[in-house]
Amino acid sequence: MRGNTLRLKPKGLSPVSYGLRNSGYLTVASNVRMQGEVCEYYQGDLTAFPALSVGATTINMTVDWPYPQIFQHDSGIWIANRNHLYQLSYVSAAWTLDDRLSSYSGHDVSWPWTFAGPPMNPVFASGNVLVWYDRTDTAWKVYDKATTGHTTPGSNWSSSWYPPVSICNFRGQYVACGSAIATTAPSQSRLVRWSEIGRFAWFGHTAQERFRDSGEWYAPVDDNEILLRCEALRSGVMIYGTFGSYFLYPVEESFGFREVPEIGISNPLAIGGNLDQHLVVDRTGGLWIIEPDPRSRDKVIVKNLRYEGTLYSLVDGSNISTGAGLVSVVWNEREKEWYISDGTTSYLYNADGLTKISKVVTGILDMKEVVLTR
Amino acid sequence: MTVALGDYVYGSFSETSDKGTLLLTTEVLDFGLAGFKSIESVALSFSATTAVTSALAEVLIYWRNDRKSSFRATSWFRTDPLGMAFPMVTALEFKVSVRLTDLSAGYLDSLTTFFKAGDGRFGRSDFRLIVGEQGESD
Repeated sequence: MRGNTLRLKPKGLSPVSYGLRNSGYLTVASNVRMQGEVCEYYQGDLTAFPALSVGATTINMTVDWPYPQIFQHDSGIWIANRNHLYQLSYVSAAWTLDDRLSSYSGHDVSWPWTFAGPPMNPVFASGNVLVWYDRTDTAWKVYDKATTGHTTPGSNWSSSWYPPVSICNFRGQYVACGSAIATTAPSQSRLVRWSEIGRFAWFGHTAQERFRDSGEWYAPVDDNEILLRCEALRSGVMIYGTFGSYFLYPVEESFGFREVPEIGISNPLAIGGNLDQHLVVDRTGGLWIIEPDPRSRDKVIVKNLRYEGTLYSLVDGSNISTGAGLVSVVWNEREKEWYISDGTTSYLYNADGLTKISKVVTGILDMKEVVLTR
Repeated sequence: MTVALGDYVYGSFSETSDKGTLLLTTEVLDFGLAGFKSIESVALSFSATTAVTSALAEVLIYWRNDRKSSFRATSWFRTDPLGMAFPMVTALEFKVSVRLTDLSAGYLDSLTTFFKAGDGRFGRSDFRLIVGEQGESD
């Protein structure tokens, strides 16, 4: 009897749930990374962040999904979990450690942290609290609008405003969006604010209106919509909501808006990337890439990668009010790959495909970048 | 303080229980033929970049004879030192699974399935070529 062969070059997990017969796509790909058309045995090339203590303060690095989150900035390494926001800085050849959330002890954060890091002025927002250094009052501020001792935001934020769900930095300008609860109409949950350029000063409060560079905009949707994440691209800012997304692009001193209706997300951590690419897991588990359009400054390129059949289990059953099961996308700049996890299952996506790995990652820190920016 | 300034990527993470095992399963394979086929052997082209003292490469075949049924699995077949396994399974459709354990590093660059199409019912031209009556077998 005549013999035949079929040679398959592996391509990573199948992007669709119907069978792609006789292809190199896989239905199971565990502990591997695609490198071209080669499967590399791989579990995430990360060194465990060590347990640290400086003086009497010890950093709690125990994984309590989706914490701890790690942020890099010229002010130091920032490690954020439910009830601590550690600033680990290197000053005069010695490490110092401060907890910028120490005044908030007894109040756990349940919404994940987002971070805006223009030089020297980091700002942190979860849906519960807003944390920043007030240069007028020369003090760190922790504002949640509701808890005694945290209802007065100091000079640069209004006490009638809720803490935003997310904040980012776009060319020296803070952009903040959403609120954890729907307020009286028009609801602040669908509000986008942008600050003065170079200053934590906001339209309707302390911004100097003669500059005309601060402003605000309500997304044209129902008051119950929550804008969950703002994240900068090279040419503008993507605003991701539950039922749709928007691209803000600079127009003279202000911004223009373009709707990206296909993409709604389940929580603020469902996006990861850099200024050139965002990887997004939508509410149905679909995977998307958003890129600035090199031909047009007011547009983005939206690529639908599919994978709903694989990733739906990550977004199903998540609880934003406790943080349980939130899907999180973490970008590794060094390896050019994303880790997509829900606390129990983890996938790796790179330009060559999607695979499953064993490391459930909450944050990464590239020490080469820290050295360069210190 | 034990954080070194150096060339590291640190992470905060936990690990799932299946770490250490490379596991792949292909999409459905019917080789483009409607009738019964027999998988005779599977060849893995892989390399390990560090010394592997107890590397264990195994192959398992999922098979079914009815597209409406679930796949059933054979047991694991260990490969020989050249990466060949000889499962011998006849069915309509297959999925091939590969398991490598005890690897510290390694690459799998292709998976080749050797099969024979012994089911002559769907031959429309030269029946003898398909059943190999004229010595076409190899």
